Amino acid sequence: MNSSASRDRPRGFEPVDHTADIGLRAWGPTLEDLFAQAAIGMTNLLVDSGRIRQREERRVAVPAGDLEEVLVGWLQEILYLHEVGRFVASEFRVARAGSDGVEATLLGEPIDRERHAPRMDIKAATYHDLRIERTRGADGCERFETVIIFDV
Amino acid sequence: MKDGGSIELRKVSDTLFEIPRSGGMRVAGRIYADEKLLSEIEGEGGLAQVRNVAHLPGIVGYSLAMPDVHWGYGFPIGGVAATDPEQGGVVSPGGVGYDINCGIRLCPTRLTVDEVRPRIDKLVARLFSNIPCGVGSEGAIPSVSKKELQAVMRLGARWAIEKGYGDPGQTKNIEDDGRIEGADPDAVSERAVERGLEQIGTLGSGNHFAEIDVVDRIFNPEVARSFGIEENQIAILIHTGSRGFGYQICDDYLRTLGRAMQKHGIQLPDRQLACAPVASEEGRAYLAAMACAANFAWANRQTIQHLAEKALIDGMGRSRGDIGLRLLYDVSHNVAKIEWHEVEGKLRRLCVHRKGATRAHLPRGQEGRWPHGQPVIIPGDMGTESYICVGTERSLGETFGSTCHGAGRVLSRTAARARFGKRDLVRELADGGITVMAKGRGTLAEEMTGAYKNVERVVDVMDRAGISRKVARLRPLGVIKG
Repeated sequence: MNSSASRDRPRGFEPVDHTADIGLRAWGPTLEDLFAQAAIGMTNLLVDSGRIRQREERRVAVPAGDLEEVLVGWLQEILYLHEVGRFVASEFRVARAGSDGVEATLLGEPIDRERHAPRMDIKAATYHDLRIERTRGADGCERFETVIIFDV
Repeated sequence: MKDGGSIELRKVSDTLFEIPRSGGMRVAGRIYADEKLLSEIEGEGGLAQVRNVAHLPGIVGYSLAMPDVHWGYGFPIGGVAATDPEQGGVVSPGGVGYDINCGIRLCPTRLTVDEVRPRIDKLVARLFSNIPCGVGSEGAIPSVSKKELQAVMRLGARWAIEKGYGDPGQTKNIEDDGRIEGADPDAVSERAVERGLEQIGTLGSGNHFAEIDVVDRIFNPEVARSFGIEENQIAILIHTGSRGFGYQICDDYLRTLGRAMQKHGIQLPDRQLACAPVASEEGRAYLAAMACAANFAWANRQTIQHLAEKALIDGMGRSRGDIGLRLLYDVSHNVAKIEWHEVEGKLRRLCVHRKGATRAHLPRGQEGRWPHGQPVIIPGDMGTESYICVGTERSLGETFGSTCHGAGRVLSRTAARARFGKRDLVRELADGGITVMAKGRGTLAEEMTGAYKNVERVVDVMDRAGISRKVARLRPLGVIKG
């Protein structure tokens, strides 16, 4: 499994080991970045995402709730698009993310098994120990960070 | 997540350990294990979860863990807890799990190992092509309409039998006759429905499988005979659940019940333990939706049994009668149910959560169907044996009629991939006499024997504790996985 960036970078994600399932650490300078990184990271667990072309758009909206609930809702929305809508995205333009919900545009294409080889089946994004935290990166700048565990 | 050795444990007997009540625990915790299994359980997070579950409003007796206990979401996997609705008892989706009515079905046949072994590769290939498995697989039977899916939710296994996937008498060999009462399709979200439409008759991925097994040991000849089980007999073992349909229902109700907790003044140590009183609007809605998913899973396993039977008929080139596939039993190991149990001399109506645990005994009054006790099927991991057991009356008094469900994970998926990922596992298993076909390469490594506890040890603990007795052992000859 490849991670996109070292933790020193201002935004990124990396897989995290977990006994029962698999986790993902994601971070970014804004909540919008954090949500986008979590989505890219999860997509990378679902399929080989290196060859996703940006041929179609999907709009995603998630209703208000506490931050963790909104993050879970956002990832579930992408899982749903993946499983039922058969759509994968390589870019997540998050216009707004916070406790009043998410508005985003996904750029991607319909799933093609040859092109986007499946990696694992994620049943759900869970609330286990889920917290979105404000931390400080190696560059000294504030950032948002979270670890989310997926049930596989 | 780690227990960190901070949890006090008291030895009750050679097979039973107790976490005494402390803090906000309403009851003590009890873990069935031996010293060796206990050492694997400690420090893994499962014990802290046994303690968390003991905080649930209305919990009765003990927060229980079977010897295959390991960390899960909210409840540990291998956890059993009963609550009393009359005493504010709650129902928790975390006590059931994402894969509602994940379970196991055993179908013995008239075939013998000598007839099957020469054709095993062909039979496994037939199974693999007949039963859709793996990530995102679609149903072998045509996608159902929304109206039809409502019938699946209400009728469970009977829906599949009415479609011709099995024989009418078979439902009596399924826990709850393959149908939980009170299923209400209106309690199920549109999104769950959409996820369910194409997934009937699909195995899925992860630890789900279908196997061709041979009965290689009999421990209890009398009970084995009454189950129609004999040495060298071939049987099909099916392990799957309610697929995306059940996951979505779990997810929907984690949110609903999470919000309801405030309303009902419930505070718990872990958000994944979201719950609501059984008697509340939210609690009732969850149970009605959960029943829909449980019934979906039974329709799913019934359909897969039909697909497996077809694979045997075609692969052996013999008639259906010659194959003689029948259903011995189908048990659920992720479910919450309203059952009557005797507690301190009084019969009480309880909500029994079994998450990674199997019902070991029929409710009082129904025992007549199985004079020696209800069959309990306990699968091993990919390279090892599975067990047919029989529940005892003692389980009713100690574990609300429950026993273990399998081996229980010890290695994370990532660690398993790191340890086994580079080896030629298909070849290694073949050398050990097991033909395997899997959709995902990674799945094999994740599900290797070393990633799980020793199933024999787990089954032996419950045997020695007198909760479920070993009857026979099944050895895998061929396996298909997602």
